[in-house]
Amino acid sequence: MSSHAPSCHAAETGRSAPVGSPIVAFVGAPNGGKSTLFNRLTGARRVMGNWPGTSVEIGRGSWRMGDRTVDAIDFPGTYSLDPLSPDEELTRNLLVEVPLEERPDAIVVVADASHLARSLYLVAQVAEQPYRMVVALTMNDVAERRGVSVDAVKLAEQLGHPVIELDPRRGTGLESLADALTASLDAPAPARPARTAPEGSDFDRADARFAWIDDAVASAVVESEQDRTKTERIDSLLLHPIIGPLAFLGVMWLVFQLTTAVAAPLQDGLDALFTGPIANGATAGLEALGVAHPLVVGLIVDGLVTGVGTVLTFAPLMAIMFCLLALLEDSGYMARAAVVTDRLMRTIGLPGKAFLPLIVGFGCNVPAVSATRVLGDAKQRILTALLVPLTSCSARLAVYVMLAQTFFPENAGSVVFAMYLVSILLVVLTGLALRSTLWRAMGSSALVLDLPTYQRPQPRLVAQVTWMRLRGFLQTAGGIIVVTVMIVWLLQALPASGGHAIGEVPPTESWYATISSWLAPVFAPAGFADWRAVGALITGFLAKEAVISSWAQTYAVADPSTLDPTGQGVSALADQLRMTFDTASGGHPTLAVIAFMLFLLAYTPCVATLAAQKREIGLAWTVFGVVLQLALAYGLAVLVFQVGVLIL
Amino acid sequence: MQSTLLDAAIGTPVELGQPEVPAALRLRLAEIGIRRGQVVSAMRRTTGGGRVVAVGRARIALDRATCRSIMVTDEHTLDPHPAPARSEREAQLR
Repeated sequence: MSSHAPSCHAAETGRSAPVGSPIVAFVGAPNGGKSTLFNRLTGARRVMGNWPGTSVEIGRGSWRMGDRTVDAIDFPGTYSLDPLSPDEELTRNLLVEVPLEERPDAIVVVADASHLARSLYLVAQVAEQPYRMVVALTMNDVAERRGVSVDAVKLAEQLGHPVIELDPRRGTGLESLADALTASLDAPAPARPARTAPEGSDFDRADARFAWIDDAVASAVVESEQDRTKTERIDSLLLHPIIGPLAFLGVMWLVFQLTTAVAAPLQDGLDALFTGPIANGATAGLEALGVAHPLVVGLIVDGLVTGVGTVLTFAPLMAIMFCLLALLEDSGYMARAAVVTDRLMRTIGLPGKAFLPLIVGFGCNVPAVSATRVLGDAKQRILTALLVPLTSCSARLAVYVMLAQTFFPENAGSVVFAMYLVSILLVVLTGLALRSTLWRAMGSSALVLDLPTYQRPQPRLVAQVTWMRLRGFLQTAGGIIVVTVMIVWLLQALPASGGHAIGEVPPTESWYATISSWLAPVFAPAGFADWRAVGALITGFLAKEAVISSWAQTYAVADPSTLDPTGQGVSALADQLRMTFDTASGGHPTLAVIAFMLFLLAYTPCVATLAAQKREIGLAWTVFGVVLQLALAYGLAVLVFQVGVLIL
Repeated sequence: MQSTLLDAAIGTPVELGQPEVPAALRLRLAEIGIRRGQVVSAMRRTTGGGRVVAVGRARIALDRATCRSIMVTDEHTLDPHPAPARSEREAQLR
């Protein structure tokens, strides 16, 4: 896919600096501070997005160096220009494979002083191309704590390119970097590479590069004896075969709690704000303007305002999730989590890091899908993003509790627990099925993971990354959610019969009821071919939290959501549901409601999840996921009902 | 007897042979310092049975299968401060 990707100079790649600005590529190994440096230099003038024609996320922004503005591109972290993943393939294509005039004007290679030999491999490869290059040396404080002292001047002499020591976290050395790059850009582009590419096999070339690197390191680096570092002391616990997994579960529980318990009151507050003062204000404003048509008022207040409110209620949840991800990554713990969970996730062909989004999914699928970006490999990210919706989120829990209390009052707790077990089983079995079919060629990737030193996360940088990711979600997912909310409102507000005024339609005579009635027969094999049950699934597509309230509206009874579980089980709504499922199932209400709950578990979580998936894995894979889940949900529901009727 | 990185004692420096892994992975390992002739130490076992390996100042986590595929050609203890020989004969034997 990336061989057809447009070059850095192409207009469709979203240049952020004025046309004609020199293009500078930032490359470097993961965990070396490259993105921190890029974010520091570009500030708010950067955007993240997929490179056109690919699923590779690239950062691009404008960097003001005095009078000159540079178009900066932050490439995915890579150890070398020999690609093993789509990310690295795109990097190679854009830096090496395209003609000279389509390449960036200069490259900044970010090298980690605490892992210098390894970081210089990329420098060796770039030096074999006719590039202006500046080496930005980071992690100098970490190197110093490890007893490693790098002489940047001697290193520059050996490498033949400027080497600038800097600290992107504290902002030191950035001016020197700008000066070095300015001098480099002012000079003519090199006609020949600074270093002749070695010949022979891939391994011969690698050996030759390492020999060059060893000479450079030997001349510029002095190492002193150090006591066991704090990082290794912490790792003796966090990587311990027993303590490690326990610590990991503790961290996951904390993430889970923070994304649900802390976000929940904030979400409730925002919801109340939009359905109360803002909706009322909009209504009053329209009245003041003389706008009274129910369709227009309804679309704006109940559609648009409600839709925007729905999007913004996710903001606290997403912000907390992105913040926690940034903290875990920045502290160095994320790599340890990947090691601890590697063996478990390998059983379904996923790396250890995939555990994080799957766990978060049990709180809410929306941030869980966004959390898949911790996976560097695109195929693994797509597979994980497709499995996340099968994790039973907390919104579905509210419906399980209501139905369990209504139909299984003596065993409600066990029934709800069973739903979570089924959810885990679905994730594992679907993962295995996809691995052995569509992802068969992915192969089992070896665990080769560099464990960075632990460091205190920088609040400013964590906040920057959090805001950047949150803004991306709101921009791409917001539109989809708002439009969907408006469509569902229209269905409920427009009369299909009865000649009612728009917005004053009894539920049974709305287009919502009519469409639900058309779809209901499809669910006859599953035992719940009633428009009220099917309608709840349509509303549930918008948000699972709306299922119970839409039922209450449909049956014209009080919404029992605020009652305790026992109270819900004996409410007026509970009575209506028992009658509906009994009638629809031909006298097998228990089986029908189990089938309904399984369908609810497995089908599309909500439109916000779809919007998050579209952002992370693209439209095609999102549609695939919808089809997969609908097929899974329907098949499971029909199987359970039909086999149950045969047996009982 | 040939042994692998998986067999190496924790904390004992060993010299690596050529990793018996697919070419792409071998190159990736070489890029991060795990290549023939490099002296490394297995620092600890991981939950999945792999190893955390010290390569210079870096710490690299490897899974069990990869560790089993990396031959150790010469397993020895590199003592940075060997005790002085007590006799000419001992010095000759060293």
